[in-house]
Amino acid sequence: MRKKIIVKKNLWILVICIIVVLVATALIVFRDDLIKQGNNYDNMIIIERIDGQESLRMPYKYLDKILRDKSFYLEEIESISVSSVKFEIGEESIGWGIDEGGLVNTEDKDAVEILGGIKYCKGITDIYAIITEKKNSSVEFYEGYYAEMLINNREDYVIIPSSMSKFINEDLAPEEKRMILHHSGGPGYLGFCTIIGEYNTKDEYDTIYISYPGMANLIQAGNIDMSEYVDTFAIKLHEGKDYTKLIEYLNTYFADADSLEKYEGKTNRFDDPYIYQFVHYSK
Amino acid sequence: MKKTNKLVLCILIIALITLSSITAYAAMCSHGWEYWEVMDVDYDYEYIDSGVCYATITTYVECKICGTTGELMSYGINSHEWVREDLGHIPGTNMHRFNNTCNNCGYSFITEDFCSIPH
Repeated sequence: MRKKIIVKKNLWILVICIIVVLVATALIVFRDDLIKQGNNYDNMIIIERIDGQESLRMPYKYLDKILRDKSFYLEEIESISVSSVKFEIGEESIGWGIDEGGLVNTEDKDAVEILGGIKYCKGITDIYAIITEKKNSSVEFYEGYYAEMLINNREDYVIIPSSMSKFINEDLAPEEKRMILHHSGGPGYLGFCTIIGEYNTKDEYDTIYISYPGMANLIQAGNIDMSEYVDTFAIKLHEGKDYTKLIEYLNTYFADADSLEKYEGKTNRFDDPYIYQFVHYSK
Repeated sequence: MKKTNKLVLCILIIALITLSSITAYAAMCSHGWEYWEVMDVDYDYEYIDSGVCYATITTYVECKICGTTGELMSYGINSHEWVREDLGHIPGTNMHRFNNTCNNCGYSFITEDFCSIPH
């Protein structure tokens, strides 16, 4: 009888141990997703699709207008965080090259796999887009370069996958390390993007991230339709300001998520139906 | 190209345009601008950086009344107009060598482009 109780007790301990191990494993495996769900939107305005789809696929004209009008709201707006949709790299679309002598080790066995693995490019204004898109990722900027360069509209920059960095000639001066992008639709244009950093991820190393103005120039040069160009759009606000004027302005383009019924059947300043809403996350 | 450099260049260009217009006008005949005919236009481009080239535009004019000829100079900054020539496959790699030449200023450089089609 006593032996039977001990066996039962051991069985319970074993079951509990197994549950603990399973829970711990699940926490480790899904920790990125769990962290992601806890996005910090304090003091931000996020533009979303009213139909709930994740990617905005918003026309470029909205972004262009708001970026041009941003100077009227410097009191309220700290920064604007935007990313474009992904564009495929391929023979009939965007291609990339590097100055002669800029690439090394291209005869390595893994060269085709790694360099050919770069299938997309995406325009970004900050590294937030990389961190949210790539699981367990980090971005390292090379000496002398920093994240603010991603909104520079005088020079173009690119962040490459860390898997690619071993193919870039280390002997080159930092400003000589550049990718040259072109689009089959606009053969007269070349985008010269200085490589300013690299990202590490446990996800796929399949995307190069271009400074936002550079990406827009390339797509415009390629005569590509930009009616679904913007992927994500967020406005970071200065703390403790009166946002009434800014909210009124945004209202002319986007519906207020708190009173969607007001916008039904109405059109915005572009004479488009309201298909985007803004959500104000105050602190 | 730095913003300050561009600003200096712009000021210089405006000054040159003003100066050249005054000089040209002084050298022309007494008839008004409406009698001048554009005979020819010459474009001369110079490489500045990978983004732009510098254009010197010479407009040859002639007065329709007295036949006086003159040159008007203007200046501008233009984007390159690149033409890419495939120099072929780089053996042992998935790369192609390309010669990139600006149709305007003639500046050229070679790139090694990754080719997504397996060789």
